[in-house]
Amino acid sequence: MNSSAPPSTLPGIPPATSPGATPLITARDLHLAFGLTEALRGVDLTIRSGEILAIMGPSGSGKSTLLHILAGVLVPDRGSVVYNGQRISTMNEAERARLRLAEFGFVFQFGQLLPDLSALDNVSIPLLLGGMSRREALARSEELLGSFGLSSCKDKRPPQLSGGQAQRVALARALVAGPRVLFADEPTGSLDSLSSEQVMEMLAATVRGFGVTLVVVTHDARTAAYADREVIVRDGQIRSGFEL
Amino acid sequence: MKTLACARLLLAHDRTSLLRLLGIVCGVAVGTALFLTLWGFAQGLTTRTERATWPDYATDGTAGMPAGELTGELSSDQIVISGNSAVLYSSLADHFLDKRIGVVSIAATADSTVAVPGAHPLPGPGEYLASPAAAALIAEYPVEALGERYGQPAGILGDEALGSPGSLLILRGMTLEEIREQPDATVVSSLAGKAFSTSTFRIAAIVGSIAILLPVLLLISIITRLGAAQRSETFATLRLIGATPAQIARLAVLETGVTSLVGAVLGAVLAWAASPLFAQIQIDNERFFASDIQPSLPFALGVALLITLATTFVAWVRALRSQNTDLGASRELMEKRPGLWRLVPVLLGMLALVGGGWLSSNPVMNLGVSELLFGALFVAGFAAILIGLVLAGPLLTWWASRFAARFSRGAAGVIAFARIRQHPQATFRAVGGLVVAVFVASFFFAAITIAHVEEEGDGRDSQQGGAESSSDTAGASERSAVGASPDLLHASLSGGYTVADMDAVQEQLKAADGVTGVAPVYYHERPTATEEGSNTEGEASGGAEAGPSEGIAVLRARDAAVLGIPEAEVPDAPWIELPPRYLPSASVPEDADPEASIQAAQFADSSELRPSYLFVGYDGDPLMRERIRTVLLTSSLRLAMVPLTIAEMRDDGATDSFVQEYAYLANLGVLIATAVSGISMAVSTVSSILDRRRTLALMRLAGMPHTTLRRMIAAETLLPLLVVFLLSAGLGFVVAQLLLSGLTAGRRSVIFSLLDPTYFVVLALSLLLATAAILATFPTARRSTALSVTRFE
Ligand SMILES: Nc1ncnc2c1ncn2[C@@H]1O[C@H](COP(=O)(O)OP(=O)(O)OP(=O)(O)O)[C@@H](O)[C@H]1O
Ligand SMILES: [Mg+2]
Repeated sequence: MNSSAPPSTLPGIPPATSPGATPLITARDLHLAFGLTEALRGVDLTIRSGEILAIMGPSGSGKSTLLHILAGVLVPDRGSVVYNGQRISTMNEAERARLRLAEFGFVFQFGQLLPDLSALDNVSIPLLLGGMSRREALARSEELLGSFGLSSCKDKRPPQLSGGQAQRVALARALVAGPRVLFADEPTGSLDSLSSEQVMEMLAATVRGFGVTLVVVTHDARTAAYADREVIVRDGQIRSGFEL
Repeated sequence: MKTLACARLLLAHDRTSLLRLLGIVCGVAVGTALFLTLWGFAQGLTTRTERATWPDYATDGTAGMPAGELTGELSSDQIVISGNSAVLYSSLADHFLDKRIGVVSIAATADSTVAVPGAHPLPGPGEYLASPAAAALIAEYPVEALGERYGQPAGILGDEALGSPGSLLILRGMTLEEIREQPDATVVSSLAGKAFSTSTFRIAAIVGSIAILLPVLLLISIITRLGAAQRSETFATLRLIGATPAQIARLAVLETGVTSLVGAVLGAVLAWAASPLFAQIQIDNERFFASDIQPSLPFALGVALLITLATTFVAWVRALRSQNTDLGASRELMEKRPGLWRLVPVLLGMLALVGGGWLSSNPVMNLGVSELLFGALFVAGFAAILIGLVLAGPLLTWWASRFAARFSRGAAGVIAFARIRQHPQATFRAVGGLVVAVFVASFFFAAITIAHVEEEGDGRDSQQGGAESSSDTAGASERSAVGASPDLLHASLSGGYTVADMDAVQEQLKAADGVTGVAPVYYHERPTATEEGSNTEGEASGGAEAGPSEGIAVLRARDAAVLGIPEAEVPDAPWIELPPRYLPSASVPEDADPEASIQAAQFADSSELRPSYLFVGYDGDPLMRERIRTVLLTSSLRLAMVPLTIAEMRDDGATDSFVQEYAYLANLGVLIATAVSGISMAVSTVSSILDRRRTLALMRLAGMPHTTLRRMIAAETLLPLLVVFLLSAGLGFVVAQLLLSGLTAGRRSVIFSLLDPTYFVVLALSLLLATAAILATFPTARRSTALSVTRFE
């Protein structure tokens, strides 16, 4: 499998702006408890536009929880998240859903593709949800899949794809609607080192090419190596962070 | 034992899995209980009808001798009674307030050994036995209102003579001389009811039972598949770590076997124990004897065992089959593309029906055998089509989803149609029950149009016994008695009287309490018509059927007021012609002028007049009406039937008709099937959402709105429904057509203009129920894909 070069232009995405300058997401004093488990205990974090941020830490430290709060999936018990001037933490569920659909993309470890749909249809869903016509959505998805080296897989259904292929389809789906921020939770967690490298390379190249901000949760140092910056979560708090 | 421990660990380890197992147990219990209860009701209706109809079949069969041969000049010692075991018998429908009471009059010859249901010993002349409900009714009112009509109470009629605990039945003893005067008196040598008057009704009952029970079986099969996706993931993981296919199949058998067994036995015991309670439910206005609907415990447990075996076998086969697919923890079972063979049963069924039809119009064998063969072919064909519809559904749905996918624009449509394409059986199973219900409803309502035709035509159903003549009369009275006053009892006379006799009777009756007027009505035959002779029976019915072209109804001008005819309309003559609109039983031509003016009657001599009716007006008080009825019934007047008001005649016509009764039962059946199917649909839709909850929740997380989820559910359910809705309605009509032409050797066909509006109500109702089922799944869909309950990694 050739690890194809990242696309030079991504349909529908404005050209890159200078990365790293303005804060895009600002989280202050985040607290969240699941019953007695305090998953987050006062997290402060600023994410700058266009950067790649890796969130690392041991298992159970609260990485996924933090990611979900940043993306407006979970609501913190205390503290605030401001995205691009909008206070996410006080929006209602419908408003947050609209924001996620329009501005964010998501990649998870596995199982995010609809098993009944072909790879192509899976990629087109966010465009359809955004109100695009079926034909245009399919054309655009096909183009993107092609640029990800997945043309031959477009009619296969997820159970017929390899793990790496499935992750790349998921990546295409996350990017097809032109999000400003991509949230990835262990995107290579279920892959062997070779496919994981392919996926990460593609991920990094794509987001850099289009100035998409990437927040990636990982416990894998090789994955984190693609990041501009990394923070470490331990016991629900950010312990140290350093810039590359 | 190791399997058991393993199963416990794997299948019942946490709250969710336990809840799932509990859900299956409860679902199977409810399904089994429902199955047995419906079965019980079907049985109960049959046994109840069989017991209750003994008075109706005395005139049927070879032993009966029509009344005409007994009456006339014969005196009682001249009656030829076959053998030494015979009774004389007549049956009437009496009325009291808004109730109808069956009255059977009986006189046994001295050495009669004929068993009369419920009577040990027979009531002697002047005595009567009453059913418990009738006895209670008689005790509730003064004797002159009701009890006096039948003579002296001599005890309670046994349950074996009654259809239901509420049956109102009187068995009245008479002398041989007295009973000869009764209309329809017959010699019989045995008295036994029939569950079905004709084989057509027997076929209808079998077909109806299949149609109601099939959706219940579908429900059970849906329930045992709750959370199947989750389980197959568990099994796949097990294979991954080295379990053999046989071990996994054993695990599946154990899980389904144990849950089904517990559920089914629970359901069986529940159905058995609750049947006395269910017996209180009224079907066709009557409760049941608990023993009629209670399934025997061994039978109930046998059914439970069968259900368990069936579900376990299916689980075993599925578990074994799933081993042939690719291995992979997250890969769900793929359904095979539905094959064309699925159309075969429907086609075979059609073939059987067409073949049966051909056979009945071209009998190659002796007619009886042909008829029998047609019945067998029809039942087999109908069952094949019914089951074939459920089998063909996935294929049709698959085709439709490919077609619809081409036109779907939104995300919801794309997701839904892809789901249907990948899981045609699962998506169709959700609506299978409704499809069956719609098919049966269409079939039934189309087939029943023939009955409307026959009712309006010659429609004399000889099976109906005593009540029959009144119902026929009532059919005509819908149109004819428009002018009649509601507070008028119509006593139809059974002949042998002169005008002078009637004048005397009139004077006597006028003096009775509560009577506001008495009007004898006579029949005058036009000279052109042939005389019927002195046959008294012929006279009575001849009078009743007096058409304007053959004869006229005549009464004294001074009595016109009793019928509510305004004085201004009455011509100045001693005798006037009574327009048919005042008569309860004349057939009025379509072109008859409803406002035709009343003419003076023309005839030579009053000896040409034959008394046919006595109209008795009362003051409108129902209890007073009953007293007058008692007076008339206990008088020496010979009546052709119980004196009735127009409303009562119409009521008789409305409730007595077989067609009405079957229509009622069919409606009930369709309603039950529809309701069960609605539940199935909701269960299966929810279960399909739960199977996909992780992916759907991730989609929600990525911003997919609720509306898309809802639209997706609706499309997934409505497409299979609508596709097969049309097909099953169409097939229902076709099958009805084949039945009718088969039964009548091609002379009859479905008449769409006569389709009962209820049919469309039923269709609308099933669509409404489907919609309700879909709506009911929305909250669950929302909750189960909520972000807070799902962990995303
Ligand atoms: N829905 C939940 N209900 C209860 N506890 C939860 C829930 N989600 C997370 N937790 C708890 O919160 C803590 C943080 O969980 P989180 O998923 O954020 O960890 P993580 O850092 O992503 O771990 P991993 O690297 O293993 O994915 C853990 O102790 C976990 O048990
Ligand atoms: Mg995590």
